[in-house]
Amino acid sequence: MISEKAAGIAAQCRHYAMCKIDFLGTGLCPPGEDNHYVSYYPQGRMDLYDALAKGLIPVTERLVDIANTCTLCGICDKQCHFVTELRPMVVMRALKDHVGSHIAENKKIVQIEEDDILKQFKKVVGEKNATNDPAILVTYSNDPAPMAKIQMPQYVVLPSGREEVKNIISVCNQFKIPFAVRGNGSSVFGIVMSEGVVLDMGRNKEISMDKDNWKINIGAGVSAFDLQIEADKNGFRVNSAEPSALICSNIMCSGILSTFSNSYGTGADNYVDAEFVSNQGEAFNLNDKKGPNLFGFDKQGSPSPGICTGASIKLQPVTEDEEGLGIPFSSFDEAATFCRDLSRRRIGISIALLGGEYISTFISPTSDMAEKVKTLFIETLGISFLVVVIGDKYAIETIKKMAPITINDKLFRLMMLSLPQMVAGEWIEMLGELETNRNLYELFCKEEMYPLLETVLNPSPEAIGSVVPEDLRDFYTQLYSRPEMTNLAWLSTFRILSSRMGRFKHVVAFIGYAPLDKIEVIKKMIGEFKRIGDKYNLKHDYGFLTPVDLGKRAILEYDFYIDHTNPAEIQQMLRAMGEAGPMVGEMSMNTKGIQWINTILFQGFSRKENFLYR
Amino acid sequence: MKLSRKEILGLRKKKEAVFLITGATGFIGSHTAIKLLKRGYRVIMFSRPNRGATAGERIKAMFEWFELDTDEFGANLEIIEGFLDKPDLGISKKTYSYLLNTVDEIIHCAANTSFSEKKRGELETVNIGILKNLSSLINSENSRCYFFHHISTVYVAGKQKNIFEETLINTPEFNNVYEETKYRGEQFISEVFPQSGVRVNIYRSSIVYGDSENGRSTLFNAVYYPVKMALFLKNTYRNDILKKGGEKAKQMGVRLDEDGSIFLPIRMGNKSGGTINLIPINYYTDAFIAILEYSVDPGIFHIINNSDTTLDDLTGFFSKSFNIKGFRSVSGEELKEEPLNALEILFSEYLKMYEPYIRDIRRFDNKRSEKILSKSNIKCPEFDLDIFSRCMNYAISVNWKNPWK
Ligand code: SF4
Repeated sequence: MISEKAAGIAAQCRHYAMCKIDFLGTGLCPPGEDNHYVSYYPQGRMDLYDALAKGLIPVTERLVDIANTCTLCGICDKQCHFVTELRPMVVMRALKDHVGSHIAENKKIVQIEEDDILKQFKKVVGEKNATNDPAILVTYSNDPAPMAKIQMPQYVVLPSGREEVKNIISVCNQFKIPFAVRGNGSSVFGIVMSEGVVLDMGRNKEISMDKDNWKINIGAGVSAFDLQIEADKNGFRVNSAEPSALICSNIMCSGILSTFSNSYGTGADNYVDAEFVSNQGEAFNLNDKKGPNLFGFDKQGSPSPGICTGASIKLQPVTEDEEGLGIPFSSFDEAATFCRDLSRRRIGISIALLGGEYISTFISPTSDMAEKVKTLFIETLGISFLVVVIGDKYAIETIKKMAPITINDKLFRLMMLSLPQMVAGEWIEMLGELETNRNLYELFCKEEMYPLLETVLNPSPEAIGSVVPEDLRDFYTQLYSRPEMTNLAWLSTFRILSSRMGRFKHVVAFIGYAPLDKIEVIKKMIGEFKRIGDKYNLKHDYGFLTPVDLGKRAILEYDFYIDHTNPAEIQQMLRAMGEAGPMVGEMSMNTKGIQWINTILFQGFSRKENFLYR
Repeated sequence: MKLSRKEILGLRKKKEAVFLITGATGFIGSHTAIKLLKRGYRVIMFSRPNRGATAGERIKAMFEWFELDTDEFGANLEIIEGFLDKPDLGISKKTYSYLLNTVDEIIHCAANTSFSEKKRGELETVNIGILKNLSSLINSENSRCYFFHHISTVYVAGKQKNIFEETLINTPEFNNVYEETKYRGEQFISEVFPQSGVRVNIYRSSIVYGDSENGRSTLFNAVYYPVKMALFLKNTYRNDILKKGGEKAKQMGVRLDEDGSIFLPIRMGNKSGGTINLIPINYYTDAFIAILEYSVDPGIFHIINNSDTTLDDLTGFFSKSFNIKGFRSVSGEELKEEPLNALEILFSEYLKMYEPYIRDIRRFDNKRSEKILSKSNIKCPEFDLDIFSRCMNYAISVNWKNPWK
């Protein structure tokens, strides 16, 4: 029996793969960690239940194993609620129940025959790490990206290390089987599927420090989060993207874009070397004199040069006095100009200009709270934009001189731990009624106000914990008792909040580079995205901007949100993309400095100069 | 003029004149409408829907607060739902032509009373733009309307320091966008409306508060706001002292004295002179109707209180009513001695906007209005401790919120 409730939840999985990293200190899903296939992680189990509900797969041997290995430990409920507000435990129980009653009723458990090709794959990667069981295959067949169509692979293989990848590619080429390479989760373009083989690169999690060379060597299965943890443990930082993204896959796709790109750069700036296997199965290194030139850039786009099987990532120095600071703005112009000014003066390490949608979504544990926080920030306090800077104490002191009103770590913590009191109640209502020509944040954020805010808002981990369902309250209270959960520098480095942007609906992000020396062009682009979003009746909002290369250019993100289970919305999204793509294309033809992610795809190793200045 | 004095008086006497009231659910609009209905006039209340409630539903709720039923007034009360900020008033053509053929006099109460420059757009729309839309209605060839009663404010005087007469004035500088837009509104109507033979009365009032007899009100801004803020702070720190050890109160210099009073350390700059002019809504509506009924020839009328109140009076009333101490006027130098604490920041921000009204040195002549009001024996009560307490206690009883919304 399929539970409708569980099936409804299962279909909602966004494939953000946050359940594949231990970002809350809960530990990882034990069977996922042991078996590596996504099918054993909560994400895969959600897909499996969805597939069962849709009648896409029978009960197979692997499915039985997957169901049986779930310990009902509850880790996924905490992790997934933190990010998406979904409660996957309902699905995990339902999956176990479904398989359990199937067995109890003595129904058939399908065994899939091994063919010659699979035997060859197994010879390379070992018995456990290659399969043609539909329970595994189906979890690699779909993606919430709107242009992705279900593609059931014939095999899934988990190669570890360059040799194994090389040999797998040889088998593929020998049997003329197409392949797709997959990192941890979803892709913006839905390119991680294949009718042939899907290579899941998550198995090789090797990390080794090379402090003297200021680099850290990683296998293709190392996530941004795990890499950052390792760097942090040793007193360094790396430039990394979404925490669940596998670094090598991420570089292959777009290069590393983060708010630290302000000072650490982008594209080739972040890597010392990398190793690859070409599509023909030949090994080469990034720095090989005779290897393919991955530092170059083709603005028409470029095919994949092969598979990245490992990389040496630059270590960045960290000082002990780093702090975070938010600078509120009511206008985009002023905020963007301020970001540019900071960047060109080399003040601050990470710089991000966030819109109201991001700020509220990131800091709120539920979408209901996020809506209220957004209204509070934009309408009551007048904070439409927040520039978040991470810098050393000298940078922070300087910024405080440049901007009269700032949100320091103390106020940020105070606000985060009193969100329920902030969004409702007499105090905030009264502040909203205060007649003033200023933006209310100019009063609210004054340091002299902190003692009063502490008194009226009563911040506490319990307060923030009170907004989540009762059974999760203790967990949230303990979580928010940890200082890093309200520390701007830690949160910016580990980025565990940004995946919350997909909590309301799946996000389709338009990301690229834009000329920060021409803020009016950036505003025009944002205006066009907005127009298109409105036209197709999609939820949409400005995402973020980060200066690059001393404020000459910027990374820009604008987001559309869709219910990926709703065909009508997918159609609208495809139409919107059909209009937004040419719009950006045309603008990039006419304006220097605009380079969109679709042209950067597979060119993440390029020198930034090659795509920023053409 | 469209109609002679005699004709107007005749229509009014027979209670045949039909009044259209804009801003009919607002503080002044609602009180005015009800007073007119009670005097037997025919009234069309014009209002927009809000938060999912139709104009009719809102007005019904409002009548309940007045302890009345809309049905009591039979055909004398009509409700029209629309949007004054739309050129066609957001009503159907049929309703528009109904208004053209029916409305004799318009009482224009709709206004935005915010002082905030951030809301300039809204203020310009409401305080000026709407007048343009109404002028299209009034200036239509087939419009019946012969009288426009414009609710304004004595503060169109702006930053000048003279005595202001009940005439059109020329104001070069304003304290805020409210004064400016109300001034520009007056200029507009006095230029445009008389062209089509419509008479215009302008009623300028000072600050209107709740009913002096029972304290009831639907609006709690202006003089209410700092009281609400101070009471909130009192309760917050009282709670801290009594239930949480008082650490935070101590840090702020707040204490609970033996006599049960709470001490809030709030210094205010003692700029010399100036008073606040406050009139209760019951006096305002009595005065307004008396002037409307008496003065058929166009004119400007100041509805004010002949006895002013000082800031010290207000803080005195406040301390006595609520057992709060600590508010003190200090010199500019003394104020600079120590940086403002959080409580002082809040009150100084309030004072910044209300300073021109709380320490007002402008004086307003009201001979023309007084002549009419004294005949009817209508007098404005002095704002004293009793009235203060009554009004504030009512505000507390409805939690400082419009009770019918
Ligand atoms: S409940 Fe099951 S699926 Fe969820 S984390 Fe635990 S073992 Fe994994």
